[in-house]
Amino acid sequence: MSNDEKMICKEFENEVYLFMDNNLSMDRKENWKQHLNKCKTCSSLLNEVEVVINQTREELTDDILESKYDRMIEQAVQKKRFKIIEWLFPQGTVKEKYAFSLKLAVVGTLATIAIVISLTTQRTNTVKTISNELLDWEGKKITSQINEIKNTINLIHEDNWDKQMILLDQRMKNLEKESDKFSFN
Amino acid sequence: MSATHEQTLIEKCRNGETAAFGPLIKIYRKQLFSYLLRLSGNREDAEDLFQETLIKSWRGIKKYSELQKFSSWLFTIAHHTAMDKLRKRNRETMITETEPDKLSHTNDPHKELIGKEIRNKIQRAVEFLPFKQKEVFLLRVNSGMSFKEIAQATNEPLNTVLSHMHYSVKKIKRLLWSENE
Repeated sequence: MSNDEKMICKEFENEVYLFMDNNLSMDRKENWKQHLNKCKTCSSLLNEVEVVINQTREELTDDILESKYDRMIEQAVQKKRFKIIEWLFPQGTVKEKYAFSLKLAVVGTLATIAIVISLTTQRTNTVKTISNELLDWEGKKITSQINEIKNTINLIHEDNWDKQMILLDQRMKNLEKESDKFSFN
Repeated sequence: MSATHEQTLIEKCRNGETAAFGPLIKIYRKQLFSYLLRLSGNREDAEDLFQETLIKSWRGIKKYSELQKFSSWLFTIAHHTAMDKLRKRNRETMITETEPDKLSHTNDPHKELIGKEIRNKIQRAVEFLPFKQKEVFLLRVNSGMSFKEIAQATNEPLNTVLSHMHYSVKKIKRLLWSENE
């Protein structure tokens, strides 16, 4: 074999996969076809490559059980679940299922800690307390004034009607003033 | 199985018909599973990867474009799924731990008996390949993808892919031929 021929064969070796893929220009492909008709080295190279690929495909073909396949398809077409649900209950995969108990333990521990903390911590609402105290104090004051007016009304029946009415009027005005102080508007 | 039948099944899946998904994937089931089995090195991992590929392909089927062959699309998903998973694990351990006999699974005892020897030889030859070469070789063998498509799926330049293929075929040939002599 001449050096030129060797060069051509080397070139074919580089392009053999593109030739198989029809990934060459029409002219180039035609040239190789013609070359293959007369070159035993290149035609046997092409043949060997095809044998290796086909034999591997034939010999190394495996399958999964039909029932397992059906189950996998069923799980694949299920509606998408929330990420947290996905995390807690992973779909299908064998190994991840073992992680479930661990995840459950983690979640359980965190939940227990949260409950214990919420139960042991004393919650105080200072704003609410101050407000209640203020209301209690003012309430007592107003109640005593109402009692005073009630007493005065009782006295009205007895005597000094006019005097008592004036007194009552004054007290009412005072009371209105007091209550204005607590107006929120 | 005709291309029209495959196209019909794809359309049905796009319309949310869950019943069409099983028959659609079944067209490529053996090749897909074989690819994942050889790449991962054991059945358990291969089944996990297969399941994940199914989930991803069902969720993504609406985005599938006819510009690409369905088989190429499916194998690209499988390839990325496998790469993600394998990267997380000790790749070397997974490859060296492979036990050829345990990978085989056929219900035909006659075929098993005749093909066992040659099968083991090929299997061993493939196992010995460096990972990148094995990746390209298996994609070509199992999916029938063109080298251009393999280059896209693996994010490698076409020349690199061709070089991986060249060396893997050379090594397998040498191993098979030398053992046969």
